[in-house]
Amino acid sequence: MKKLFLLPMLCLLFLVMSSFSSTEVLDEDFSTCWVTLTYTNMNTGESHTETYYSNSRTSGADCAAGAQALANGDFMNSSDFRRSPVLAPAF
Amino acid sequence: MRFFLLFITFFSQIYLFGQNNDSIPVLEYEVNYNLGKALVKKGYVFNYKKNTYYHTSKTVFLEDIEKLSIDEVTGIPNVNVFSAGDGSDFNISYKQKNEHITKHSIGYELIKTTEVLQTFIWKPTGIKKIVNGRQCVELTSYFRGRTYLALVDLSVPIDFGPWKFNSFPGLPVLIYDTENKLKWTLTNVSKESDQKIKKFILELKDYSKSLKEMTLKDFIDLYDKTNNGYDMATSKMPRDYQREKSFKKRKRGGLELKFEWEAKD
Repeated sequence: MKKLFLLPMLCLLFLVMSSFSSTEVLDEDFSTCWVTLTYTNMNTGESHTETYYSNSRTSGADCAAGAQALANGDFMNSSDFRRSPVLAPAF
Repeated sequence: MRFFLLFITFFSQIYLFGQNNDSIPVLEYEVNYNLGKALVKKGYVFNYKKNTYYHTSKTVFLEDIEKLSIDEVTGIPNVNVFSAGDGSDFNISYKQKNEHITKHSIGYELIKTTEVLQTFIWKPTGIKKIVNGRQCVELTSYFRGRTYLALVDLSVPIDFGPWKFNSFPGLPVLIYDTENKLKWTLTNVSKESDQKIKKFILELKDYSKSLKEMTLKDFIDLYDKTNNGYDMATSKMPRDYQREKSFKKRKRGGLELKFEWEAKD
């Protein structure tokens, strides 16, 4: 009776464990992921660049994906701003 | 016949005077800043009831700025972020209150600052030039860390100019700083009706109420503490990215570099 119960349990455990497969390929030569961030003041054009690094990225592709996420991401706490009125020229 | 011509001349003068009384000159400038990323915008300035109103269109950067680009030499990706707004700004000088208001963009905020109205002292350099077909004299003035040169047409009795400039002895046709980082070029003088100007001022005041307000001194403290808003803009950076330590002390790089309340070097 015990064997009858253990066998399906072992099969189930095998199925569960085998489902945890990773598709990520580790790049052994990859060390640090670098990205620069350039901030520009919209009114004056003053510009400033800082460099960032991440040690949690595992490959070049992962690093590039991180930069893309930063570019797409909403990490700036921006909100909808009303636009200044502009007096249109007469002509 | 002579009487008839005099009659026509007299009434046409009255008519034209009435027209001028009812229309307000608006000076239009091309504004060029080269303080980092070079930009251009249009600036409009007029005087109404002893107050001067200056405002600009949105910023157009001279280079295409991609949100994400790859440095050709290092191969490091670069992400571009911008401060709040579209680059349009305004300045209002209230002469009777001796107060000046400016709109700023910093980090993710748009801020309205108040300061005591500063009076410019323009000194002639002795140089005369023709600019855009106008006979001009060159004047110079120092303001908050920059030396400005202005080419002014003395035949037009106007004392105001774009941004914070004032106290001209004539129409400012070209104003620029001696480092060639800032330039205002007169491109047009038009006239707007009293009604249109009043409507615009109401809209501007209504818009101005929506902005956070502080003194210029407090704003400059914020500017210095946050690296011109860089730290504000990047405060939500994901935690797995660490900023590389920089030992360079950042210098102010805006239109104004030194202020009257700061100790002189």
